[in-house]
Amino acid sequence: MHCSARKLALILFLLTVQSASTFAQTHHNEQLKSKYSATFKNKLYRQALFFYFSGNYSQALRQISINNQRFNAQTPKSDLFNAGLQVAIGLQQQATKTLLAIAAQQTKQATTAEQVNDTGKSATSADELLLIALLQLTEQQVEQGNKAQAQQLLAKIKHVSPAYYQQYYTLNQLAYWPAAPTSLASIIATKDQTSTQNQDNNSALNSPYIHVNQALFYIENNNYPQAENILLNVKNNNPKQASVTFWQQLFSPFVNEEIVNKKATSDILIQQQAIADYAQLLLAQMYVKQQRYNDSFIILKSFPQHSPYSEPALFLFAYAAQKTQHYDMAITLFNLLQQQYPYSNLGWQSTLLMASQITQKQEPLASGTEKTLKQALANYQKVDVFFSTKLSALKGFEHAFLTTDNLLNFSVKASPLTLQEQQQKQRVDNNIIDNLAAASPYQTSSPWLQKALQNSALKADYQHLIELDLLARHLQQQQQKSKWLDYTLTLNKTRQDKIFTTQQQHPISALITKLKARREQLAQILNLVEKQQNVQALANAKEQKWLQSITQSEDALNIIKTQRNTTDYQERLQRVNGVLQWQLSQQFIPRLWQHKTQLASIDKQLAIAQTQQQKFTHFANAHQSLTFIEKRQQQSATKINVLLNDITHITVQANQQIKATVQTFINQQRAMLTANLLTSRHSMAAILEKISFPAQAPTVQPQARQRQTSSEDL
Amino acid sequence: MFNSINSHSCIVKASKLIACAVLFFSALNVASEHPQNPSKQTLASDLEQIKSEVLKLNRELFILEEDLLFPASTQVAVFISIDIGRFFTLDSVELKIDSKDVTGFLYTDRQRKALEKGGIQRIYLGNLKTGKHQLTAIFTGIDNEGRTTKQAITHHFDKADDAKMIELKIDDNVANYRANIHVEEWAL
Repeated sequence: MHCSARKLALILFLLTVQSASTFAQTHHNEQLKSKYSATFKNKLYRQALFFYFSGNYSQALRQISINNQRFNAQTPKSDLFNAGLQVAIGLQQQATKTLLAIAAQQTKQATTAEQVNDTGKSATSADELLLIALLQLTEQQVEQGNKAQAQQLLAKIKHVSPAYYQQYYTLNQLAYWPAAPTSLASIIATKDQTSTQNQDNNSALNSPYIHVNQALFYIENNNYPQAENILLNVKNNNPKQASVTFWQQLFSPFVNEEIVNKKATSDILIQQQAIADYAQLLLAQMYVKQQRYNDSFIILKSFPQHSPYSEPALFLFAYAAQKTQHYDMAITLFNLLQQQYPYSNLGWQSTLLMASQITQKQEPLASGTEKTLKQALANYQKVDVFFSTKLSALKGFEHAFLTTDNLLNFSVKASPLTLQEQQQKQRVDNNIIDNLAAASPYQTSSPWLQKALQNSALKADYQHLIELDLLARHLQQQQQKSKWLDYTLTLNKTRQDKIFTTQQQHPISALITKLKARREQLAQILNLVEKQQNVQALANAKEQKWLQSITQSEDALNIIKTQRNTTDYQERLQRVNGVLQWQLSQQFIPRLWQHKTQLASIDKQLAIAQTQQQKFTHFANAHQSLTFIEKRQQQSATKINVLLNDITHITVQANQQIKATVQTFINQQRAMLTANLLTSRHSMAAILEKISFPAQAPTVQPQARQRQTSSEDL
Repeated sequence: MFNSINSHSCIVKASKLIACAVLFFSALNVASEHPQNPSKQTLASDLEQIKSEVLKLNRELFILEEDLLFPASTQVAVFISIDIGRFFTLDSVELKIDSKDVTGFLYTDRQRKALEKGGIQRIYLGNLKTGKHQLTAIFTGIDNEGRTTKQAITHHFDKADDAKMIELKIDDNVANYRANIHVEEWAL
């Protein structure tokens, strides 16, 4: 309930954020669509390719997302690329959605364009990409046991090229098991493959996995001869597996390096050996089921020592040895199993079978003498101690595990890496995708937990826990980044405010306007002077003084000319005035030019001042964009907090789930151990009875008989 | 007995040796142990939802950081691309703007191949004032005769209010068996 409310709050929050920007974004996107050319979009896509081919998958995916978000550069190719990377990092729901949309779009296009000859290489590649992505996703769904989703995805595949048919067919077998796949897609060949199409069709089904699954199907239906033929063929010939294509590499980026480097060859060989071993083991099991113990014994004699199936093969071999009366060998093998696999069910069964075997072996020789019976009793006592110890160990594990707060710290296996390497590995950087993809599975030194982790569901839960831990650490880093952005924004805002205040204190724009008006006035005067050729207007201060003095002298002469003869003075004054006027006329052009240059210079300075002022205005207006960025930062910070809360909540859920699963496992193990203990005690009681009443006691203990593995159990 | 072997198949799966045949067993195990467990589905679904949200958040913060540190009005980005690359094996690039070193890049084989496969690398992202500027790039590498060579190119450009994106393209010149460097300013 609490979780739902939180989720609802998160959804509402996201919807609010989205709806606020939806209108503006829609309009903006429409503009963008036409604005950015196809060439530009292609260049953006190629940037993602650079990251991808450089092995930086996080940045590749981020680049694709940024291209879409910022430039609306969404193309079918980038969609597929995106979906492929989503599949690779386990975003199954998103990837399914994207892939199904692409598939639907392609179907629609194929219908409308009906039979446009699709010979273009890129189109083929797109189909291929889609197919691979769908197959990868189906594989993940099958691995998680989501058979319905796997079937749904497989149903979307209509045509498969021979190169992918093996994988497709195997996935169909797994998705529909135990039933046979209902309808399979047709095999199509590309043009250059047409000549070898028939050959391809035959080889497409020649996968060892397909054969082994088919054999299992026959065994389930008691059709042993058919199963035997197939398994012998796989064991002896080990049919060739499909090679990994370029696009498969492209869509499995995180195993890419492994495929590319030399290790790949040895991996393929190991895989081939493993499938052959598995076929051999199935064959032996089938023989045991048919009570052909000798055949089983013979076929397991050559079973390789270092195989992932060593344990069941060893058990089966010991059992077959016992049935074919190779008693010494059987006891040795059971003993080996008990020592090597003390926590496995087969190891426990071996312990019981070995004790029973020892008792049985001694009976014909000594026919129940007290000495041999005591030996048998001592043997069962050892078995009793073994199971009792295991039960108490299980109890100790139960207590320790269920009281652990951080399950990821419970009995962690010591890493062979150096401290520096470990720190480097634990470092969570921005490449969260790479970190998620490279998250190594949980390794424990606790044998009980190791056994419990053989349950794929529990293993998946632990993986979820590791991923949650990674996400939480990554989010904490993002929180730091968000804080740094907040700090940078604050600095910018302070700077902006300062500029704004300065602007208000010194109204530069008003001053510029005033200066501009004054300059206009001066320009007008200069124009007038030029037009009227008024040389006196450009006189310097000294000349102005002289001119003033001449005017004053003229005035004085005018006053006194009626009383005295001023002709001489007037002539002298005229001469002086003439000289001055001549000088001024000589200087007029250069002075006019000088003034004009100065005016032009003032114009320039004014223009610069105006540009500066505009910049300030622009900067002041940028306050809005800064506010917008600040808003985005605040939204991100809120989102981080919400996500961190969600992660905490889900981690608690995952912990509870894991503890519940482990509790179930512990109960099962306890029941099994108790049953085994009971069986051994029944056997002991029977032996004690035999010792007490040698004449009446049965030759073989009935209780022990019940627990002995029979061929029907197998 | 079959059950015992089935449960053991998980060991094989863990060692990543077998994909499909083992998947069958694990799938059966899962199906038998947790048939349609809704809480498990919810947990996986919630985790996926969070993963997706974290990725989205990552992207948003990245864009936010770029918007803040490199606004379009001052933003300049320089890209490198290679067309085929038969006549020049790129080793390193030095970049100068207005005679000042701004960045350098030493290529690994993988990065060079990424360029040769059609990738475009953004080598520099920075801020510049509006006006005239000069970009100089010095490419060091090995020519088709195995000699270490240097090639330089200078480009003058005007920075306006829009973001400036300049691509330096190395392509093969079949006529003289040498590599040429071209400059392309991206038109948005």
